[in-house]
Amino acid sequence: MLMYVYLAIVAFILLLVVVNMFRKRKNIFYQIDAALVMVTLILRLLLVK
Amino acid sequence: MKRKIPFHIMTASILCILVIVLVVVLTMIFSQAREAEPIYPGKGVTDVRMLSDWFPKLKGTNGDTEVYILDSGVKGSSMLVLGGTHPNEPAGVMTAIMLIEYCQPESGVLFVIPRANNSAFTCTDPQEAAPMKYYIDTDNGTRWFRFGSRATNPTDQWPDSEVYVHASSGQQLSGSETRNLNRAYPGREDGNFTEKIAFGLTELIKRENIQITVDLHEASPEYTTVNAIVAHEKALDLANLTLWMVEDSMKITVEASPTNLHGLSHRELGDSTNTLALLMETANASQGRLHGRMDSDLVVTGKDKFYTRAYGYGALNVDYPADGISLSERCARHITCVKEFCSMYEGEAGLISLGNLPSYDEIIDQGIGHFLKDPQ
Repeated sequence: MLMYVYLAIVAFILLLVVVNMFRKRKNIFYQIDAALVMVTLILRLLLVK
Repeated sequence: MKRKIPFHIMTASILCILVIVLVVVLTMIFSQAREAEPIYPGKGVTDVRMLSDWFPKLKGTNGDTEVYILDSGVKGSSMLVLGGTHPNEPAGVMTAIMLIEYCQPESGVLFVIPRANNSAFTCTDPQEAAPMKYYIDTDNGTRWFRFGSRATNPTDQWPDSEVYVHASSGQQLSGSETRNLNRAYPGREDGNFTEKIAFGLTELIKRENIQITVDLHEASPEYTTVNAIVAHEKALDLANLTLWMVEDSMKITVEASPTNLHGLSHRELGDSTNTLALLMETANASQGRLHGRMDSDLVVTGKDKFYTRAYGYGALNVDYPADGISLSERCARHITCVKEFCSMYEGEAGLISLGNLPSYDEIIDQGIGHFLKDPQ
């Protein structure tokens, strides 16, 4: 059960990262940072290890 | 009028596509770790069952694992050999595989589990740069074997608690030990994933009335309990007799299982079943904190210049020759002691004899690969 709570938290953080990525930014490095964070979050969400 | 897509939306979209491609590639790489190395059962193997036959709750999970049965057909005692409790300790796994492929018992029954914690074979320890495989040359080609993690894959049991409380004793350990099979014995039927695997193994021992259980491990050369047999108090006589028989071939010590250290096989299996519980440790440089580059060569040859230097400073607890402590030598230790445990055991159920096993010197001289089946 606890695992599903953690997965829900991961999914929520992933959503925030994606939303933030599409907001207007002057610097593309913000978006690259977000993309790198997304990779690890998606792998964790899919339980890939 | 055509509306222009803002630049930051375009870059974000391109990055999202790249993320998806990267995730697909990484998923394919990681999923390779779920492929188990082939094992070719020898003439001695009479049956292959699954651990879920003794504990059905494991069926269909990564905790279910193969149990190889080598029944001599001659009445005698039974022994269980556990390899792969910690899949980053390859001498235990290779010894178990060698028994499956080469051993032909002459009396009694031998149970061998090469991947005791099957889940832990599907990942490696984080930040260790560990290889996913290591390679051993046989007489007719090279075979690969899975190098895994000390603990259950977190995708099977996650998250870890801050503090791991061993269920039956209340002993508190670091939260990272929650997924350590050798801290989970005797296990719980309704416990976490790792405790269920431990429970399945305990059930097997009880139902099959296993007389001797040997859990094969490795430790870093700087660790205190290394090149040792750790024995439950019921198994101390057997361990000491074995020590006398093998000490001409190798330096080895016998240590009594601490009564206040819970969850380990040599303590809990001895307490909760009738088996004589023993655990063995050999010296593995790839496990230590001092080694250099971590790759298949280090796992197989055990040769590392930093360990050689550390030995010169007197920082190690074992003799560490310049050409390392090879996997063949570590397996030779395990095989020789397992064979002697059987030779020295005189139980009411009768003797157990593991025929057709090479000597310590033969394994050292010819290498472990010589005693594995060819990949063809």
